[in-house]
Amino acid sequence: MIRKVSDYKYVIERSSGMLVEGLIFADDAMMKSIQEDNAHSQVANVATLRGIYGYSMAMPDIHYGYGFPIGGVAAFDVEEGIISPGGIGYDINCGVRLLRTDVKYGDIDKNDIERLNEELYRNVPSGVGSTGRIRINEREVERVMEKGAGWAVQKGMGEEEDLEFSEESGCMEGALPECVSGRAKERGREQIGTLGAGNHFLEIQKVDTVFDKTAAEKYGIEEGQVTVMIHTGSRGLGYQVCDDYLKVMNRASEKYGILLADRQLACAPFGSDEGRRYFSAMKCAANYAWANRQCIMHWVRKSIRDVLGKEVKVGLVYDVSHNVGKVEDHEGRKLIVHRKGATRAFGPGRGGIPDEYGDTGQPVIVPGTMGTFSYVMKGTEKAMSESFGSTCHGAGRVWSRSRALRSLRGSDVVDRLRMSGISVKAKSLKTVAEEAPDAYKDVSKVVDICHGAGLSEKVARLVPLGVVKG
Amino acid sequence: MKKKHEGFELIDHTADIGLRIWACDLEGLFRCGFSGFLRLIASESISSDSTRTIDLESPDKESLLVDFFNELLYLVNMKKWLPLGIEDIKVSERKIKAVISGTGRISARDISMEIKAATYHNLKIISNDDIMSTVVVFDT
Repeated sequence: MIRKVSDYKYVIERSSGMLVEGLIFADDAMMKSIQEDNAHSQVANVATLRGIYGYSMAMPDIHYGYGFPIGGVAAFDVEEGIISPGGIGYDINCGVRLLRTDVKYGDIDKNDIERLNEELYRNVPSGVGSTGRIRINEREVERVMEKGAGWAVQKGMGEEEDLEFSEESGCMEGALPECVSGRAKERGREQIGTLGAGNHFLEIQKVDTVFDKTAAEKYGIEEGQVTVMIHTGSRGLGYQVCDDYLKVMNRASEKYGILLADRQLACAPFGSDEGRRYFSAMKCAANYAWANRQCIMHWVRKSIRDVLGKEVKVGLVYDVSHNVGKVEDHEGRKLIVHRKGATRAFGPGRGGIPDEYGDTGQPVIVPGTMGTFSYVMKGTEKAMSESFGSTCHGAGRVWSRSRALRSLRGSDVVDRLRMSGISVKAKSLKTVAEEAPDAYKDVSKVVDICHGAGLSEKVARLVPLGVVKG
Repeated sequence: MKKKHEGFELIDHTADIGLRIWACDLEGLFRCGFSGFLRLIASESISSDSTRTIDLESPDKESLLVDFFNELLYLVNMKKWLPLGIEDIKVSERKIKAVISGTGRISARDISMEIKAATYHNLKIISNDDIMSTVVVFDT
């Protein structure tokens, strides 16, 4: 039974094995679509897992996933609760990095954007199973897993300051490569610095509207400014870590007598050997993802300077992860917070965010789809008390890929985007059709709900000028 | 007659892709799964020029099916080798040994989509009126 408790909150009452209630942040229209998608049933399934604390939550961009819903947030007591690879996902530390430049749109024109898009497409490997410009041996993969974005900076692919403006400074402590299989390391050898395919992208944008001047100033954002967004994750290495540990967790669930509503929820007590080893392997994959985005940022920086001029400044606004598990303090408890398709949104005064953003709250980067807006939001105090400091991660799909392919042609989507002034470079027109704006919820509505619910507040809106897809 | 009772279909899933497969026995189920996988991943028909053996052991038949698909994905993504046909296959509840034909002469254009992994989501192989069937969801 679902009941509305306020304008943006719906509670799923406890039933059949649920240890806590479910809580979905949505408005009436969004809730209707969530129920049609049956995504709320997955919120209820997560609520059956041992040691869950507070609510099994979902952000407004929730959609039906596998095991945990996409857009789900669940926190488990570190003493009594579990950790689940399925609650973090295959693409560990899939995330978004937003770069600002000191270039204003107006000082450059459509032709410059076209040239820059071409250059990005040339310099950043993308596409299905893409392999990179960097080939490293297994020992070096281990260094990447230990050092994260810092590995890339040490190799000359970035500036020290880049590390400061990333969640966890681009590296989670406690990553032990011995917890990662040889096959996962093998998959990591050729994919560092690659975008991949699917919903991953590079986007050249313009700051279209600033809603919160004070916060925008702190983040170094102003109207008319050209920005670049990078969306990718840990590639095959992360997928392999997840798959390896789902096998471990399927055995562990049986060993520890954990009943599962869905095998994809397989888990182990956080403090168990299986739980600790997975957490450490997850950190390795998360660090690989930060290094991946750092390498890509380096080539974006180079591309911008090659096309727009050597003197152009390119800095990092922030890098957020939206598929990760972290130990955090909430309500006086130590919790392992699973965010799968949800972004951390720590408010002002909370540790774990750069000093410069301390009074403002962390930037929350919310990517839209190819033809739509993206948003910069800021974390809030309210998020700390309402959602374990979490908010949405994007638009959220409403169409299946097959429906998108049945309804749209990739070339038509490209034409439509060009007509709107957006340059598109893509390895596959099929991917373009699958990832068309029509296949997603309206990101502005998702963002408005998060803003209205107080989980994060709007700072600026970005419009796409050029897109690179795999 | 047996062929009428074997097949696969792709089914809609909001973010990912589902593959429904059915057959008279476990071996047939894996064969149908292979055909469905091929439909998902290969953009057009190309010829085989080599074979590889897949030899796996898993705790149960559902895990075996997931492991089989993920092994095929590993060959595609890591070894850049596209599986195209099954030359020989032996499947029991917990083991599979299959000789797969395929090719390593592929370009990015030959692979039509990036699949991250086969998942365990609601995975259960059921037997009904002598037909075995299941749905596998792939994370894409």
